[in-house]
Amino acid sequence: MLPYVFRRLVLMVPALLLLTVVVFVLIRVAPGNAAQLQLAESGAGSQQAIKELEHQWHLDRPIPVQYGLWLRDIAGGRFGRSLWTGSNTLGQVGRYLPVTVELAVLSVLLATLVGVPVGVAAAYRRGGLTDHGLRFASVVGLAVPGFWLGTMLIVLPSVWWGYAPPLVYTPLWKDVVENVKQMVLPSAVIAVYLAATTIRVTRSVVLDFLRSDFVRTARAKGLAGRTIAGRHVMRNAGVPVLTLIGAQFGILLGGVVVQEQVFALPGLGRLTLESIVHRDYTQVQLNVLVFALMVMLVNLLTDVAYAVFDPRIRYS
Amino acid sequence: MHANSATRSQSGEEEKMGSSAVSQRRSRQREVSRRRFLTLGAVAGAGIVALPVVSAACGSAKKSATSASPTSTATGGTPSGTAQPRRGGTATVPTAGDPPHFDPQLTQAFYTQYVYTLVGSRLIAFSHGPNIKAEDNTLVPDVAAAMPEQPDKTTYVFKLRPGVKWQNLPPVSGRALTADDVKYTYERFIAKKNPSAYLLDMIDKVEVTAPDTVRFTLKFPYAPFLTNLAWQYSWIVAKEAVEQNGNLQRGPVVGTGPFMLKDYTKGSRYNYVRNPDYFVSGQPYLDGFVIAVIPDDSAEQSAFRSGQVDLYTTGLGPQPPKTLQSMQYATGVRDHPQMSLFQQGPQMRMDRPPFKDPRVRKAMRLLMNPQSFIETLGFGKGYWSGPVSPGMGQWSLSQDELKTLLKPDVQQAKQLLQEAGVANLSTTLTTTTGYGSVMLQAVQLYVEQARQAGVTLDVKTVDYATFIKTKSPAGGDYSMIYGTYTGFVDPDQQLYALYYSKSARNETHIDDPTLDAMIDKQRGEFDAQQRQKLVHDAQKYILANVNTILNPFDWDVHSFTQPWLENFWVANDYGWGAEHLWTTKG
Repeated sequence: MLPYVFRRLVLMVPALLLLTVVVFVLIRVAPGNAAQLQLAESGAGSQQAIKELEHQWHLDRPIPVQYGLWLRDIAGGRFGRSLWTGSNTLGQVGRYLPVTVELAVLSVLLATLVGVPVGVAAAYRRGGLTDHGLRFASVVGLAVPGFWLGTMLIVLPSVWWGYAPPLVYTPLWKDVVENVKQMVLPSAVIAVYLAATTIRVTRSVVLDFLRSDFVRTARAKGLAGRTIAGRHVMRNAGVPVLTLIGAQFGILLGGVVVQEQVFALPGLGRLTLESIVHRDYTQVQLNVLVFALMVMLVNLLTDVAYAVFDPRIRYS
Repeated sequence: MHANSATRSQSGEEEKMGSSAVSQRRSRQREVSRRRFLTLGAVAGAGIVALPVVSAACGSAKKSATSASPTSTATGGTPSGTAQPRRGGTATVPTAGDPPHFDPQLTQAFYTQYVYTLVGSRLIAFSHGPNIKAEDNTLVPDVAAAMPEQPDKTTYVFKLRPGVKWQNLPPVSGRALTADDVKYTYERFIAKKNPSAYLLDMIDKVEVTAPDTVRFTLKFPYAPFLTNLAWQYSWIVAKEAVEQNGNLQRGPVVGTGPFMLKDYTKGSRYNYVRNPDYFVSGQPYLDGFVIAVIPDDSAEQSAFRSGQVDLYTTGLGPQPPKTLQSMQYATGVRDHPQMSLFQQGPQMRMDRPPFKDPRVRKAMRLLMNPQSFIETLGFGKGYWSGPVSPGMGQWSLSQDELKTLLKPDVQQAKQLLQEAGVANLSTTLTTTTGYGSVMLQAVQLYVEQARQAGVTLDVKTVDYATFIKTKSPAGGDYSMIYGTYTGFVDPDQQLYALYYSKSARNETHIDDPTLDAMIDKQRGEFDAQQRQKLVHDAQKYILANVNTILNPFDWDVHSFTQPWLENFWVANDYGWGAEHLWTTKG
């Protein structure tokens, strides 16, 4: 297992390098840059002033040269300063990342805690009213846009009852209760989509296994239904469901960006969005790198977890 | 304007505005979140100047010098007659973003300026108060002992208020404010790295003539000098603080203002505590002040309705009556309406066909129906808008004049287009999502009005950064765009920035020597009435001959305050008049 994990970690390096090239080029070919944004509307935005700032930030050099300089700095552990704020980009990531991680973990937990049992229940009651109701609910969950649902959950209670979740962020380590009150709704909104997908996949997979020979055999042997479900069906269904949850992590990060904005959460998604708007190249590059690393690590963890659910899987 | 309105801008950077400025930023920010970004500030900030400038800048030295007493409330805010100020408590106001950094002289970002509305001081400031109209831009001394003496049209002598101390924070540690600090501040201000330098670049030299006296000499007579000096960018900074890290981007954040920055969490909140050494005795009344970062406008409204914040200001564009009603969620919520300084509309490049031809530009104005904008987008409420925003009060042409001068005439528009040989004009109209949904609706309305005159406008919507590049005088490339115009507070700021041939913001590439001369003349005219006439003449000239920038309409910005927040008044600079706010809560 360890050699496998090591190999996967090594393979991440060229993947990340390729990604950095793509991000580096894309953000630079987009019109406008940080120098223009800082100066263009200020009245001080003479061509000369903009050129001076571009020179200071090496933006006047060819993109491959800029990339080489950036790569050299990264290799030396120098992640650079934000072109927009002047802050250390790595420090910024350190401040914003915990919120995103917390939101992502809570969302996955909620989606799994709801999606898996409901999917199993729908499979066991296939064709019944419960099944139809749960399937309908999952379709609704897939169809409802997260930004709309989030906004409605903030606006309507405030109009009807003068209530809104805490909108001034409190870190987890400062006040757990206040933090959870703030995190529940955005996590739930993100979890709606994830849970809906999980319900559908779980139902489908469980149905497949319920019709399988080994389950029929187990029934013929007189095993209790609960034993069959837990020991035979769910353990086998775990792998595809786990695959789904791992694969959804990238989608989840997209939802996180939106909900951080709607619920005023200072997370990495919001920072990335603002950085893109300001053409803050150094910050965008690092943020995307961190996002990519997170997705790759989650996928690796998912693969490793397969072996836990299915003893037949062995990595060498 | 209300400081609030400035809350959300996508970039968080740029412009100099007042309430409308505020709202403009705010709508951008919304756009970001809704992509909404690209924008609170209660409108403590709003535009500026007018009479005060006139009365201050143009008035006699003796009169100016006696306009305020050193012992009065610094920015003129006086407790309302209905209640006595109460010490204690905290006020929370929302903004849509973080300061990019803490150096007020290296950015125009209003989020950075907000920090200094609480922490900093200026020589003179805009007054907040019950009997003060924001559009009058009434000026009062801040750390100056009085309004300056003006021996001649290019010399201003300020005497500092006695007993003003820096906050008791390193590296200044409570030392006295000196004239050297003022000299250092303004010499640094006009350095080329300050994007706001243009506001005061008419300063020739700053001299310390006594430990508490400083003399400004201008290169030429400039009537709005005091207005620009009082605006939200000219915070006094300490040399030691700047030298500690080379600049103030990473702090230390220290000033002589009513509050001290205690701590902050980026993306979340900035906590301030009362400065016990504030130079106005008894102020501030609040023990603390919190700026809460809430990027989404819907969330900010909800935060207000649920009592989490004490102030909410509407953003970039008119709000539906239902939304305004919903903000009056409890008895005692107060609405502080203020005419927006923000403007939006199409602009055309004067140096390129087809808009090189003045007949075509005039046609593009004649086919525009401002009343239709007011009815459709303003829900029946709004103002006709000329080259100078109606929010600037006396400097703007009257509504009656505007209705006459801007009267739509589609038939004449068609005729002019025909005469210019572009009867079936078709061109690209570039706009951005960065200024909010109201502007995009306005774009559609204008496109439809153009269609009725036989003009086809192909709308190209781009993100904010692309839009900035597109319209930039330094290498931008467009034929026609639809954008926003920041909330200037003095007509010179607007006329010079947008219509002067040598302006760094000459986005329409205008080159009209007659208009240049008219703009030059008004900025050197110190007699208020005479200057008003010159400003009006310049606007009429623009509407008759230039028409590079069209402004269909304007609207009111609303600042709502909670029942427990007292003594809030709108003004045309950033901030909330925080030093004279108090709360009955808690």
